[in-house]
Amino acid sequence: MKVRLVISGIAFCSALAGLVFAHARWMARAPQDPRFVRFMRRNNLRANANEVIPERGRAIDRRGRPLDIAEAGSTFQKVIDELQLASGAPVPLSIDADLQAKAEALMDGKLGAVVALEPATGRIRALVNAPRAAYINRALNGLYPPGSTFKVFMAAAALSAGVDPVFDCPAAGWRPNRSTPSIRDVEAAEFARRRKTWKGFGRIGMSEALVHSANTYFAQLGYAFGTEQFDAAVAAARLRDSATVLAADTVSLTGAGGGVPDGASAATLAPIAIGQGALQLTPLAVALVTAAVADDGLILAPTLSEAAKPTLRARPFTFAAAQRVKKMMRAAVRRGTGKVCDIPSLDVCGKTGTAQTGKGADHAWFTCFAPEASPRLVVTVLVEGGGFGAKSAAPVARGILLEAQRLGYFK
Amino acid sequence: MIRRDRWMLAAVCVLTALGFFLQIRIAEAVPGIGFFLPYVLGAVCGVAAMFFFTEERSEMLLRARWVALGVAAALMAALLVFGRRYRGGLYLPGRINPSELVKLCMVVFAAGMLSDGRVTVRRLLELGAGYGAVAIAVALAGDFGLLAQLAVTGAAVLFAASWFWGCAAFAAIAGGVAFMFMRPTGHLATRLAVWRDPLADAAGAGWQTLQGLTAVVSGGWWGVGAKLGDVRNVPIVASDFVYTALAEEWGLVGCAVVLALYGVVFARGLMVSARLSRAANVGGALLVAGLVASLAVQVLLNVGGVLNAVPMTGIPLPLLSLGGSSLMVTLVSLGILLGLSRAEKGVENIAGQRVTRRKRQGDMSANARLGQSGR
Repeated sequence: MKVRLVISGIAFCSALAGLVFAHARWMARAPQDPRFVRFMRRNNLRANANEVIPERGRAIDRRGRPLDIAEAGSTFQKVIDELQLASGAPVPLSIDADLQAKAEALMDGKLGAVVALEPATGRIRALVNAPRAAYINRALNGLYPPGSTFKVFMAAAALSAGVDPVFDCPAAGWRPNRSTPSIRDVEAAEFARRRKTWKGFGRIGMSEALVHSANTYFAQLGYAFGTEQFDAAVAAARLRDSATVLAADTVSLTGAGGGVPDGASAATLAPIAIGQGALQLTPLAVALVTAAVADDGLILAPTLSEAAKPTLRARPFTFAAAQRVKKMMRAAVRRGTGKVCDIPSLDVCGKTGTAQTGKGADHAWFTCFAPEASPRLVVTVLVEGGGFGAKSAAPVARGILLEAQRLGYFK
Repeated sequence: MIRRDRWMLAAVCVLTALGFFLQIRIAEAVPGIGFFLPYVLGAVCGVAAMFFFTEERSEMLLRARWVALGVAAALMAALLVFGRRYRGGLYLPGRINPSELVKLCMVVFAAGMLSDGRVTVRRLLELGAGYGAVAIAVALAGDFGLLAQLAVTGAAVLFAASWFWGCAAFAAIAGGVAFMFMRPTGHLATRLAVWRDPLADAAGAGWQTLQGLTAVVSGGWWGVGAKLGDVRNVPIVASDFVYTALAEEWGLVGCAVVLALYGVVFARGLMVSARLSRAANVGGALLVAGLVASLAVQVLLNVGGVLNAVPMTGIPLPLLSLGGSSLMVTLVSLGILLGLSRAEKGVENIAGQRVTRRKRQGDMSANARLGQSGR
């Protein structure tokens, strides 16, 4: 009996030692467990427990490589922190580290933003805010006049509504009424500076107008399109709505809704149709409009999450309209304003933009996708104060497209 | 000179005093808890038991084994008939939890049945019938913590009496536990789910466990200091989760000391049991072993449950938890333990007298062992 009692004693006392061990092990492991830390931070009133600060949430790219694209303290980082706390693992983002690195390198020293996304899924493959240290999220929240890139929207919306006019585009420009200044083409000023006379585009259709980015044509198109149709098109494309690209429980990363006047008169629509006036969009919104053309008239919800299922965000354009605007954008790159970006073997479709800000240098835009037959990647570049879009923004887009080609995006 | 086991007495006194202090401290933070009377009554009853239960009187107790079983069965029957639900548990009117008394009675019953040291099939059947009846009532009441305690305590008594049947009983318990883990239902399923991952339902089922663990983590190694913790955050901190208050304010070190004090009680108790068995008082030895096992299982299940090392069973921590009946019965059973630890200097002499008295009952093995020890 004594042996059995000794065995019992050893069992009880070692079980007690096991309890001490369990206590110590929990103490050691709890601050490492992001889910438990999250519970403590939310539900614990003790000051000492709040001192346990979780490590900074980490993100990995679509191929599982570590990513460092969010500044500490930014909303982006807060979302990643919370998602990591929730899952206990680095947050898988749709970003492609290679493409992101290339885009950041190309934007180095510039002010601006890059959005590269897959039109068929809405997954964002590169998201650049330049410079990085600035706590302004230009790509998602920066509101800029979209300039001529908005002509893509106007063309597709007009064609979707069955509006496909031919307008006379004289060198002297066009104005809806006498109280507004004439809307002229860039060429007019260019020729005037060289002391030459320009005859204007003459009578052109939408295709030629988009290829040469004719302001006179699109101003008249906006005027002819009219308030009701324009408002319907803007609502259908959800240009005013914000877009959440990465969401956690309490904080989310959201792209700002655009500033688009509601019920603008036909005369006001003339400058709006060329991306000026009281119109402001984010680079993400411009990318989404481009993606709608690329993806047969559909906008997939943009997302930074690799795991998120693709969901339809809007259906702004008809299939036929998207196909026609696609051809126009291809021509604009082949022989129009976007020649810089014409990459052999890759049928790039694109549109330049030069947005007047009213102060300082113009913002340069370039938005494009490739290839024409089955678009895989939309790239939108904004360079603040970059002057002509073809000059400063298009080379960046070209570099990104080449890198994407190297990475096998267009196979 | 009569002396009780001083180490055990000291450990019990320190633990009781610590429990008293903790309860005062918790009552300050969580108003509306009355705790004074159980301590007074428990202390009186415990000291009385300590003086009352000599070896001879414990034999009386053991002879009343069927009465003990009857009391346990009656308590469970009353609980099933008159019981009221409170926080998922069943209580007698006045929120009295009879489980401690049931446990004590069942230890007395088991030790009494095996008190002559012979484990026969007939005895086992009687023992099994008595345990089975009470266990069914406990299962009907849905008190799986008490069921586990009864099973392990009974198996421990059986183990102290016999290698084979003890091991068989533990194997049966292991099988039963495995079966329950495979097919948990209702309340049990919730507790098992919380045990597997308390964070899965952090705001719901896992809330209490996580608040307790938060307090444990907040305490760290040395604790935040007596009365400096924020004990209100943990639900039921006064009774089942009193360990978290201890962990928060006294840290891992304080908890280790408290667990070591429990270890002293267990070890010294088993030494008393061994001495009684050497003195051929098998019944007393089994009674002491059963009481120690009962306490040990309670401590292990409570603290293990709070630390999420084992599933939560909802039983109080002996001597530290608030609970009138629990504290009183615990102190009484410790009083019995201390009473039986009484020995005069020169144990051999007294043991020798006992051997002659035991001879009539025919405990030859104990007799032979004593002969070998060579007085």
